Amino acid sequence: MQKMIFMNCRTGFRGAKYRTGWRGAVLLGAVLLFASGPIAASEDKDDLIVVKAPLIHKGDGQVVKDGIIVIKDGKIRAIGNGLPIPVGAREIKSEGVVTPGLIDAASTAGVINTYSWTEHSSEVVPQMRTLDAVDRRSRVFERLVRKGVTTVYVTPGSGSVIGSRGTVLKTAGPVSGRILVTEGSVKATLGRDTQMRGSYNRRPSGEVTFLTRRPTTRMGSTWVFRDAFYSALRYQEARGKGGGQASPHDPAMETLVAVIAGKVPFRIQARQYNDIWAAIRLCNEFGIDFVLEEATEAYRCIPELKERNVPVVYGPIFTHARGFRSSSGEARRPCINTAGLLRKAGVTVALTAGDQAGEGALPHQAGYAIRGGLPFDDALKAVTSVPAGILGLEKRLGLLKPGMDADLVIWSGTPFAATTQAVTVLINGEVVHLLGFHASELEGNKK
Amino acid sequence: MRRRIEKRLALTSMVVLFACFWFCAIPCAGGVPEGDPGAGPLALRAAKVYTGAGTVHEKGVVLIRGGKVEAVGSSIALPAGCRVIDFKDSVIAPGLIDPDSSLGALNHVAERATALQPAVGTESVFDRFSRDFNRALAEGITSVLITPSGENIVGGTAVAVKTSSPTPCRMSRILRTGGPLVLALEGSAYRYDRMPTSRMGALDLFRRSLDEASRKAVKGGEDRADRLASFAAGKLDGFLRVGSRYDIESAIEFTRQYKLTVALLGVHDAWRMMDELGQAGLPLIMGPYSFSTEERLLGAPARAAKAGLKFAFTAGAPVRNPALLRTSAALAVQSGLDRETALKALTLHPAEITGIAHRVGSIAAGKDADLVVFSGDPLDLTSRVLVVYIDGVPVFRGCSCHDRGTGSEECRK
Repeated sequence: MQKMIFMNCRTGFRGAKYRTGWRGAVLLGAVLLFASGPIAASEDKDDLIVVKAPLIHKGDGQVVKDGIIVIKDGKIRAIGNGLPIPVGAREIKSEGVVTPGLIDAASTAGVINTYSWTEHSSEVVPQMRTLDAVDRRSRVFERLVRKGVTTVYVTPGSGSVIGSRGTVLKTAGPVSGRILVTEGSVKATLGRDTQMRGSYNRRPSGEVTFLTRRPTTRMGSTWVFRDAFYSALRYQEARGKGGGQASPHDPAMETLVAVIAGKVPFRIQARQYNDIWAAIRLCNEFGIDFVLEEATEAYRCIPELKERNVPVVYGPIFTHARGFRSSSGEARRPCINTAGLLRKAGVTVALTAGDQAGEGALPHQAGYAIRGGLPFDDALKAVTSVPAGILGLEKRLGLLKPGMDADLVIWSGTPFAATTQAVTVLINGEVVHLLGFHASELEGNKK
Repeated sequence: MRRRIEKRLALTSMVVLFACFWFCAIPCAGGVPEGDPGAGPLALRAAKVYTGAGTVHEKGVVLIRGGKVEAVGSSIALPAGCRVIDFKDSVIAPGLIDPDSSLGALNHVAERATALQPAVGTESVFDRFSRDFNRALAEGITSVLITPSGENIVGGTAVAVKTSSPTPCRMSRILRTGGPLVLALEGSAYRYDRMPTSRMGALDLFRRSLDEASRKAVKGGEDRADRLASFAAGKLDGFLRVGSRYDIESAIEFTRQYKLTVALLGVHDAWRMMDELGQAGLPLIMGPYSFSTEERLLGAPARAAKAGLKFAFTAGAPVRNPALLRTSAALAVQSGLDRETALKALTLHPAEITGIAHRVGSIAAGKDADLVVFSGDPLDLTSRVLVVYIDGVPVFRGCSCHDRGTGSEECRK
């Protein structure tokens, strides 16, 4: 018997017999068969799912009309139109638009607090893990899932000149299975953040502790950056010559040596054009490839970024900076056309929502980027396949094609439009968001 | 002649002096002859005897000889010349145990120079004359673990002591030294004035110091010189202080990764991590709960019992009121915990978790005669502590100040 779930938001709204608000309407329209247990049927060994939709964006610019996606064991098995629906498959029928799950390559989701996130006893902490500062049960992940974000790179705190290693997490599903990358790229920060965040707990008495030994200027942070990498080169040389006796094992230096060797990915957060230039100059000095993060003024350095072939994780997009971005003084000259201009020049662009999970969340960022001149297909890539590539997960995420993780979003209408919302979200083939239901009600979020 | 008298006087005085020393050397029980360890067998009779191990003897008798329990039961043969004290409708329970206190060592339980202090311990700091011990005793607490605070990643080793003893000897109170090792992952372990200042730094330090310690070979028993190495090798047990759910998560990951023997302390978020905790099977130390504790937190002990976890309550004395030990158990019972487990969580389970169950924690033959006579059920907060016995000697009497209820006649003997 074919079990079916009707994912029809609109008819749900219109044809609701028992109009008990939107939740009731969706409930009626979307999951009449929910009680019979199609979603809760985890004991179904033969876990075959078929998603049927009038429009499927594969994520590489291609579109499938009236197609189906066959999912088995959390992976996509087939995608196309005219494919036979396998016998015994659970069918998720939709009148919306399907895209791959969105990927944010510079999120701050789940960070417990700033204190957990930035280690103040040193300016150079590449041996530490951002994962240790993340609460994987944070409600922010639920908010992100409701916005269609299925994977995040939690970026290290910007208080250290050379900060910790970021982590890549899925936003829903069993908590123990969410970690994709424990130790991701090392993130360095150029600009005011290292100076401000380093000083906010500086003692008013003027005592000299390690908290006062922070860079206080851009000159200072550049010096710390170069000092760290030169120390790493010296460390490498000493270890190469004399082994363990010459230089004791130093996990921070080991990590930087791996960065120079290109074994550990590296990224730099810079907002102002002068910091972006400094990033390029410093990385040229040590021959390091890097990804640029935030890049508020990237529109002023397009030729340089293009020449150095620097991928940019751009965002969040705003017209008036608020919070710490505002007080940094580095976000006074934003430009909504940046993503479009970068793409036009041929720079690899991913979009990020940073710390925003509400109306500034990733799909809305893509919407703003489209408004600023980024074509729809590029905007879709900038929140799916491009960030997947930046995170080194292009073989698992970012596209709807056989063999990839079954992370996908069913939108109520045109993706990224202000009038559209995510109706259903699947992660690893499990329904982790269904409009009208709380996350804890869905089997996909349970152990 | 005079000389002879002088000589004799000197001799007698020497004998007298010697005798004085001799008798003083015999434990002075402070004028409580009835339970003197050397004074022959003593039987305590009460309406109910809770052994702490799950059994209840109606109209039970506890036979004590030489400070130890010789027998317990409803119908045991008493030896000839055995003194019997009948507490009538009162209840005898094992002395209560608080596995997380800083009695007698308040403000001396954190060495703040660096975040790793595996070499320090509380055995050398506690003040046995502290009145906090008496307050704990008055609540029926006979043994406590004095634990280093959570202000360091590795805080040091704890000491298990009795709250009183028949002899004024410091050593006679000590049940266990040099363990368990107390570690912390909670927020108080990262401080603004030394490395680490962040959770990220704290976990990094924790992980790296365990890595380093586990590379050292520990042969045979525990290595007293390097307690962290013993801990990393699983040969020394540890208490891990955790605060929030993510601390619990990290603790579970660490115990899986390093095969540690740990109990978790301060598990306020246990109520929402019970599935994970149940799988991990770690012992928990919960509480203190008071009447202002949220209900969802109070439900945790019942759920822990359902998940088959071993857990104990703590009062956190003297920072918190020692009365909260019994209150915590009572409130947990109110929220669905069965009485038997609740009583175990005050007696046998803390003894087992702290590694002192061979001496205390239940009323069983061979164990120390540390008993509390309650006026009623120990989990009923209207019951009072009437008498507390440590090593078979009454060291506290509750009835002298409010002589209202049952059993008081016997107390006045």
